[in-house]
Amino acid sequence: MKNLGSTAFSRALSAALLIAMAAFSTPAHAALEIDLTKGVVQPIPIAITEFLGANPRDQQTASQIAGVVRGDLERSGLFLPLDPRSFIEKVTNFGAIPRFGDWRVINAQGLVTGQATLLPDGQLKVDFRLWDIFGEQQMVGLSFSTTAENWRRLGHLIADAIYERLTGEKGYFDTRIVFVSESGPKIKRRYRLSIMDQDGANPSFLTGGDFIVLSPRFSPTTQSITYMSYERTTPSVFVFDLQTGQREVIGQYAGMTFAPRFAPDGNRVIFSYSRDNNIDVYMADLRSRRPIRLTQDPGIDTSPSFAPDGSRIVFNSDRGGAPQLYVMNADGSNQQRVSFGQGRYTTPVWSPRGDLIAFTKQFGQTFAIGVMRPDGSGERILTQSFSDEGPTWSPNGRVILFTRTTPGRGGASGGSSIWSIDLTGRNERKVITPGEASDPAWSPLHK
Amino acid sequence: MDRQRSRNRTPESDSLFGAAAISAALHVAALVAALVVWPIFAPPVALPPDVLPVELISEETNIAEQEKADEPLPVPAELPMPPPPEPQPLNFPEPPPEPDELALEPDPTPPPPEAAKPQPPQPRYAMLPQPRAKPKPEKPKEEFDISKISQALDRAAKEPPPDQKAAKSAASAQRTTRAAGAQTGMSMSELDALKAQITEAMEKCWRIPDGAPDPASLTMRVKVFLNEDGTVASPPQLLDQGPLGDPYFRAAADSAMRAVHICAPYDLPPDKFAVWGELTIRFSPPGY
Repeated sequence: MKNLGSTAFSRALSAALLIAMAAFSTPAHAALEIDLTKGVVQPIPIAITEFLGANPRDQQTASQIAGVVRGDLERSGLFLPLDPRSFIEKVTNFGAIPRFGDWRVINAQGLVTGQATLLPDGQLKVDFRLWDIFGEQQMVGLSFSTTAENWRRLGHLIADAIYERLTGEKGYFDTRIVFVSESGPKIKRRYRLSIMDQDGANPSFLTGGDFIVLSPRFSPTTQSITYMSYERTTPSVFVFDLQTGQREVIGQYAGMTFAPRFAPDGNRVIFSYSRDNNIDVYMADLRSRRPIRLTQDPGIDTSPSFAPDGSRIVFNSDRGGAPQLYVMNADGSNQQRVSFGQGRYTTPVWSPRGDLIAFTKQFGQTFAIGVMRPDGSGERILTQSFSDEGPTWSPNGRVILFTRTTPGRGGASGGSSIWSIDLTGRNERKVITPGEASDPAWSPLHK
Repeated sequence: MDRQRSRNRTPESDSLFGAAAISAALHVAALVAALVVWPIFAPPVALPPDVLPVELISEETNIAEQEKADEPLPVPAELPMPPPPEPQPLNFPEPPPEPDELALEPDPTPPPPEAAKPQPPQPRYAMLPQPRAKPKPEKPKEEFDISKISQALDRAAKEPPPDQKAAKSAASAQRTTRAAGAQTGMSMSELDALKAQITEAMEKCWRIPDGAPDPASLTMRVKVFLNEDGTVASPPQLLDQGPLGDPYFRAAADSAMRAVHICAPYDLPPDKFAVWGELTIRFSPPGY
């Protein structure tokens, strides 16, 4: 009897447990599920406070650096630096935690604080912090030290760090742009190889302007530029070492060489070479200088550009009639046409991110800058005008620079200038250059 | 002519030289004609001089300055977050503090590096480390067993055909919906309207992570608990994890968290709080 009772009790207990488990395994109410597939495309409002300095001299440097940071972030189109006059909290102590509520009130979504100190040995020390207003914590905090003359670069490095943390993308502000500066009357035009910071600061000439120079391109690994110049009897490809100022011709070839571009390893150059009435793509090692022929087609094959991993090359060819884009392996094998749209496709450039190819497309009276995936799919036109051409990528594969030529009188070309466009097709801006400019090429990030 | 030049900057055949000769001859002819004929018919026009900024007046190649700018900068040192609540001087992990900086230290024995990175008192959101899927233990290789095949055949015979299966699952979905309706006292259309209201509000608050290489990989779910007044009750929880250390995913997660806060307080019917008090929001960034 006792046994029977205990069995009944244990059964009842088991049943109760089961019921309890069942009750707990089914929540009283499930969370309401929301699917969000749309949002707004707006720059992130960010408060960049006046950087602090212990004395007037430090304060001036600190303010200038904060100005560089503001300028970089604003030009990217992804950030909206808020007007400092709207700030409620006045940050006076770099080491203090901000009053986040004050920054939420003015709708800031990020806060940047900083301080600069000129040390007695001439070194400049700059610290900055990026704060998450809603998470109420530091997202990035870095301290830089360098020579005082490098203060602009420190501003760019800080902007790069903020950009990278908030977008996930490497920054591109600590970079330079090489381009062809144009000046003088039309009949005696001077073309000079020039270089400046990506924000237009520190412009300088690299060549004198006695010869036409074209298509400068940065080495991805060294401080070198390759370009085409008419200073010899035939147009030739040169390499310019920015550190030493030394220039040299790539090979003493019998024919004309043009459209040069470095391979990702920086040790080889690919270019077009005209020989025996045929223009093909060649590659030369910078040490041996011996050209290796990569294409054999009777059509014109030109504008080669390597994929960032060095495995493939995109180029344009008129072998099918009008110029179209083709992709081949780095040894010239497996040449495949990838562009099939209406119009003429030229000057392809593989993105440093590897995911897209930028190009110039001409259709009707319009010249456009577009991008497509390396297999030719997903073509998108980003900008178009009377003449947009010659794209070059920022080192993070996010922004494209190109040359825009305005129409002049009687259908002739007017002035040339350099413009930038984000790969989303938004944020088109004119790049400030000293005078007219064309043929931009973006440097890699400073090492 | 200029437009022609800018299009064909890279000469494309050997016939260029012939063309260049003809072009040069035509240019000279045009120049002579212009020099002789133009002054007769047109009054002289003073052309404005080309204005160049001061920086570009010099034709010298300022490589020396460039070299200075090319100096590699030292790797920056990471700054720890200042410790709350009392602000203290910074502890730099590297380089080691200068003697005069040490003099500023109130505490002669600074805490270890970990202690120098205290977290804020109450972060407004937290990441829930939730593994996506547990690694399945490897099943031992099954040996061939004819009885299992016959069992499987029996099961297949008992299972309803696909049409019936679909009908069954639809019926079960309906039951679930009815159950939800019974729990919340809301019909499906009311529930849809509420979801649409929240979605519409959040679309205005979410700055999409734009231009990432693979937007589809940045889809993530965030759990949100709200108060009855529509304010955010506790830190939103990230339910998904991206690839370890993926900066795109981290930035996208930040933007999702910000969206939850920016949208608050949520203006929703108080009598339906039981339904919207707990939300799971799936953020799926669109492509561009």
